Amino acid sequence: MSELILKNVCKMYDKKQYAVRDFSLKIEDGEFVIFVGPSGCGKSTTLRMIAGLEEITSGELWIDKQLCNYVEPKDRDLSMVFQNYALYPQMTVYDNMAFALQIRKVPKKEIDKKVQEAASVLGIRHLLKQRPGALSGGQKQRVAIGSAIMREPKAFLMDEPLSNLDAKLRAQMRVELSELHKRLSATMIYVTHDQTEAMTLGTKIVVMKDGFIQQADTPKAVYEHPANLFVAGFIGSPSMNFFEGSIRKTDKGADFVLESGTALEIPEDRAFALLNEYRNKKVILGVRPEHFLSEITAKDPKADYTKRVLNGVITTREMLGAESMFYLEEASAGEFAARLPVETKGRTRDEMTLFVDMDRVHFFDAETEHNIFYRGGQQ
Amino acid sequence: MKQFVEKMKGKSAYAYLIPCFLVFAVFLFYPFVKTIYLSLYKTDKLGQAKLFVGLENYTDLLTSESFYNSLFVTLLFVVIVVVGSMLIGLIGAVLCSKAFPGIRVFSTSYALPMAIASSGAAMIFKIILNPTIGILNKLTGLDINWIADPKYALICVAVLTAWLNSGINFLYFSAGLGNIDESIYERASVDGATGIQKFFRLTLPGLSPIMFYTLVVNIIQAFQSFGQIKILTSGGPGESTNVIVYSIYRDAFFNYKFGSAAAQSVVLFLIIMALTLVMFKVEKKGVKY
Ligand SMILES: Nc1ncnc2c1ncn2[C@@H]1O[C@H](COP(=O)(O)OP(=O)(O)OP(=O)(O)O)[C@@H](O)[C@H]1O
Ligand SMILES: [Mg+2]
Repeated sequence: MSELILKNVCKMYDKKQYAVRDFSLKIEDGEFVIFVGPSGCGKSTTLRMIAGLEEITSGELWIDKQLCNYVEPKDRDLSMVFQNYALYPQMTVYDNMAFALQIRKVPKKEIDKKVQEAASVLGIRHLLKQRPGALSGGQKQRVAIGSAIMREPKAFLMDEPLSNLDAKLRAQMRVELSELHKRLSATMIYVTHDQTEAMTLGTKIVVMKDGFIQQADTPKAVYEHPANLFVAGFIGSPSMNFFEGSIRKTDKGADFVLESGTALEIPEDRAFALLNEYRNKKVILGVRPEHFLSEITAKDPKADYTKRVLNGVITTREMLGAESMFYLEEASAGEFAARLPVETKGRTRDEMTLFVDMDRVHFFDAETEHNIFYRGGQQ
Repeated sequence: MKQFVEKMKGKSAYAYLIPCFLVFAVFLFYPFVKTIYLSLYKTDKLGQAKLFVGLENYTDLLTSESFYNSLFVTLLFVVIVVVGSMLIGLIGAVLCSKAFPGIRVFSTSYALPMAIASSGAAMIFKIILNPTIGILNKLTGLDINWIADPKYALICVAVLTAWLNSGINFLYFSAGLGNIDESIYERASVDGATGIQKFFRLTLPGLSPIMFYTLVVNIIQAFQSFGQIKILTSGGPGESTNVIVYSIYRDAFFNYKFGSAAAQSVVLFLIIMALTLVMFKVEKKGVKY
């Protein structure tokens, strides 16, 4: 197991546009790093550069203190699950899984043991004699995972390895991968579009957009302290609500004022900082759906709770199980979503008053879209 | 009436086969039946059947040393040609499967033999192989009379034929390689496979369906080579390049033994058919699609 360092790695296809730009990241031994980002932001490209399948246009890749820009893929000792599976069509599932060991001349008995073991973990034992052509997408994907976990390489690279599985199987595989990571204390780099996978598996999340890293931090930090508007909107599902408005001075401190005139009281600790720099300037308020409350539980004696409410008309209501999603329409801010306990009353077209947990909201600079209170983060 | 129409509906499919069947009948079935017919007769110089002899033409063949020599020469010739042409085609296709500057020039030259007439190539080879002015002897510093020496004559025509047939093989294999998904090579290299391992574990199995097809076509084609043998060696020296097809030609049009020639044609047909059947049997086991 090992440590990977990427220094200002760039990738340009066909001398036109950067697919990945200035990618700098240190991946410690045993870390489980998750790459997330919208489609086409360069996640697969980064993974392929680490694997050596794509030439690095500029920058440096260090694996275990060795500069690896020009090391052949076969000598990097990594293993990879490809986004399109890349199974060998002429071989059986068994041989597909055994391939990496077979070419290393591992004894047959040992191979057999490992293949059987992995196959039963993945639930594909009955498919071992089939050829990939006869498998469903999810089965192929499990074969691809199986092939990748045969060895103990320096790092596992997985490009959306669970994307084609059903919800139950996905949850099961998530647990297996997490266990594998613990058992081998393996370094893993993992691409996913699934929020749950990203939050539960990763020890570090790397959020990318247009080839740039937006933020790289622990799941908790990325969720609680997003670096900018994009990360805030991308992480968390359903995503954060944004309200445009401005900062206004009051006797006690400061208010955030929506265009409709509705004012929200800003807690003291942040009021002064905001007043200093953003007085009467445009800012964007970010509130996660779960930070709306139908009634107050915690009491802050200094807070004026009547000035921490938002009114809206219910447009849609969705049952999620233990909770309900409410979609509301506010006069100026437009539609926003709130996640409330399932027993909350309210029907479509009813007026509803919600408390905003102002201690957990985010303020973004309307121009740069940076989180005003973001103070760097660990890299 | 209605019943009749119903009946004809099912049968009408056969009507569409008639044009094709007519062409086949005139150019394939008739000559084929006629050949079998002739092989049972002694003929006059114009090839008319004169005297029914039953299987005598065949028994004559089976006791003739010259015929066994023909068989042996043919076999050797076919093996060299098929192995040679498939190897050249395969190596060319693998070399040209990656893009590099000037690839067009190389692909064209590998595919070129396809466009050369066999007799034309034979004429050029005749000059190349000429013991006194030929470039082969000049370059290698050897002093061998390639075509006139029974030891080398067969190899020379076989190599020429292999090269001639390699063009189409190059095309087949290139198409086959194009069908192999590039990403499995990527996975193999991450898995740690060397170039040679990739070739034997991925490329060859990936080519196996087209390889089988090419093999069958090549064997049949090799059995039927004629032009280049006629021009380069005329079956000689001695009988060293007297393959069956050439022997048929010689018996029919020089010795006017049409009966014997017809019998040899039938034997050749049987051999090719048997081989093809065997290969299709083997295919069921060996070829993975
Ligand atoms: N071979 C290529 N040639 C040219 N451009 C490419 C190539 N591969 C990828 N790109 C471009 O690079 C960018 C990043 O692609 P990449 O495959 O890394 O996206 P991704 O983040 O993995 O997306 P997804 O989530 O859809 O898999 C895209 O804009 C894509 O168009
Ligand atoms: Mg991708």
